[in-house]
Amino acid sequence: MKLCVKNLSFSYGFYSQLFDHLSFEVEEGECLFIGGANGSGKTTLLRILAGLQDFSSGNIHVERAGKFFSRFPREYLQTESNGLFCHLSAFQNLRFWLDTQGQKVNLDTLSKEACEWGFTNPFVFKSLAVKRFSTGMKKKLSLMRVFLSEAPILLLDEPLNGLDETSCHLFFKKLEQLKERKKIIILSSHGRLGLCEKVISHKLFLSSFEEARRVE
Amino acid sequence: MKCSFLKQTVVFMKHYARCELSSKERFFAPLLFSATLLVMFNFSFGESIPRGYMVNIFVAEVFITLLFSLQLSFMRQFDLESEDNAFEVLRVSNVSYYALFLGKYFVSVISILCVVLPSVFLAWFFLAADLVDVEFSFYFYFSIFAALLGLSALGSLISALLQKLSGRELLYPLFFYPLGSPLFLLAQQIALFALEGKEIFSLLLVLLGLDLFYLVLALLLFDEIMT
Amino acid sequence: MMKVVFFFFFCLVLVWGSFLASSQVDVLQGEVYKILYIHVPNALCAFFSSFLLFLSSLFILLGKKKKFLPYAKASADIGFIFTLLTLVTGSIWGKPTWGTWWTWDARLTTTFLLAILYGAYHFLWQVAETTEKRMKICSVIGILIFADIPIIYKSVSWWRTLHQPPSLFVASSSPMSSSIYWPLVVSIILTLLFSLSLIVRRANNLKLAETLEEKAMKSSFS
Repeated sequence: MKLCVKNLSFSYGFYSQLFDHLSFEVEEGECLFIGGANGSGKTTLLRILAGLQDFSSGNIHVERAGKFFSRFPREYLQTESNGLFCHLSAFQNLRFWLDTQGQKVNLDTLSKEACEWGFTNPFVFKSLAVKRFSTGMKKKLSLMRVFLSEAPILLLDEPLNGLDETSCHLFFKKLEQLKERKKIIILSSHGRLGLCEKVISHKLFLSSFEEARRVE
Repeated sequence: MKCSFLKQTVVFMKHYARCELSSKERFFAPLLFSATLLVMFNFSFGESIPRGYMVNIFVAEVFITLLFSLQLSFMRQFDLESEDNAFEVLRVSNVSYYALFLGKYFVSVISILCVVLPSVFLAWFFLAADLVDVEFSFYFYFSIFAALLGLSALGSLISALLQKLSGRELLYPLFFYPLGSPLFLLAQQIALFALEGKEIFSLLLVLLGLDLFYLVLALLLFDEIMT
Repeated sequence: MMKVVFFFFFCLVLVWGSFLASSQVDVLQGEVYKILYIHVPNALCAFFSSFLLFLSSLFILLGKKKKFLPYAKASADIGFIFTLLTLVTGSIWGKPTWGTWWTWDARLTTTFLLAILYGAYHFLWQVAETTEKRMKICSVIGILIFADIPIIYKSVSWWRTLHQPPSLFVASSSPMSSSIYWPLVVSIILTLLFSLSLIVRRANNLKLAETLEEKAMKSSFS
């Protein structure tokens, strides 16, 4: 399976041509890093891939066993928010998102996963409302939601924001596991390329007002 | 990974029920608002309400109070999803928007009934001394419940539609009241006739028909909003 | 297009003038019945505008056709004007006929609510600044507004009301005399054509305004 983007163009009105005829492919088990300065279009590109934003021209599809699919299951990690229900606990949030996907919720597996991410206190994980969490805790919960999903394509926008060093290491360890499970991963960051070097397969740099260039 | 439509609807119903129970101010605020309105109405009417108008005033009081307090409840229907942008995650995930809306709809009908019933009881209590000869019929309550069925659909739809707009607090009542007023008018008419012992079956059928119409319309349009 | 608008307006003025000047008088209502030739067409145009709003909204929402946006806005604007005219002429007719300028009759109430909905649509248009928001939010509201129309029309049957029962589009023969019926039909057709020309003219103005704004934005950023 591979995700194919062909001749993608997008502009905000007349004053910002973000990318013009951008093309790339990501195979299963690969991780594409999208870099660029602030305002270069990283979030916009990920939102387009997530289906949350229309684009001016181009084609996005998944190729699998010779067939092409324009609609495909994916998970998206937002940059400025976490997609959580703040009055519910971490466990209730995860259970909801997994239930909607038809995935069986195993409490032991979830608790083990939660402990790995630093939710060692069962009260904090099962009973405390998410609105009481810190920024980093919310981000980790959001990452748990994305990583537990069975969607084959993961779109991560600035996933390292708010994470401490231990969590960053855990994040990269999880990414390696997901790559082994043949997921397609696309992540963006405005820096921290050095941290991501070990896991990324390809890099794509977006520059404002210029055609995006692909760097191997 | 596929989840059936019925199962997804049940998942959403359980989820929204949990959300309602975990944020109790969403129930208490409209109820307190109803109580405040009822007190103000009774102060305005004073002690000497002519007996012949008692039933009309009671029904009017109930419906006007519900009109304002329901608007408070409905306007905040999708606040939970907007708080941390869960709306976007729902749009990306492989969920059925019909299941989402139906789950939200059923829970909102039940939770708003929990506001409506105490409000009706309070309205009756404030006028209780003068209402000893007024019969409380099943159809009086059923008319309110039937109005709720249509208003919940409409209120949820408008709430989802105006979620991200800056003038939401002004726009919401401008659309909710006119579009919901046929339901209110019809329900109020049925409630009055029920208390007066008049025939209401045909009007009730019309009201239920309107409820179904609004629900189907809301379902179809909600799908368009989310895609 | 302006010539077409003026042509229909001129025809309307001629037709109304001739009806108002005619010597026919209603047995019960006297001269005041002649406002029928203005009030009923205005009411039908208010409904017709909401139908056009509904159609445009449908094309925008389902067909994703942005070009119908000006027509939706124009239909709402012209519909608002005709709804106000309906209410005003209805009040003028109501005072000598019913003895009151206003009553909370079901049809009057729901027509008044339709005027509020048109006004709220205009307000919504201003608040939803981007084309994408207008395409989604305004078109859904446009469809909902049209959903109100059958309820207005049927309200005469459902609720006891002071208003005239439907006498134009009834299955059996109309209780209206033919000397009133046919001039009324002519008035309705002309008013509908006039409202259509106004909607098209307004839509063209909106498209022109949008084009000018785009050109201004383009030149300021190039």
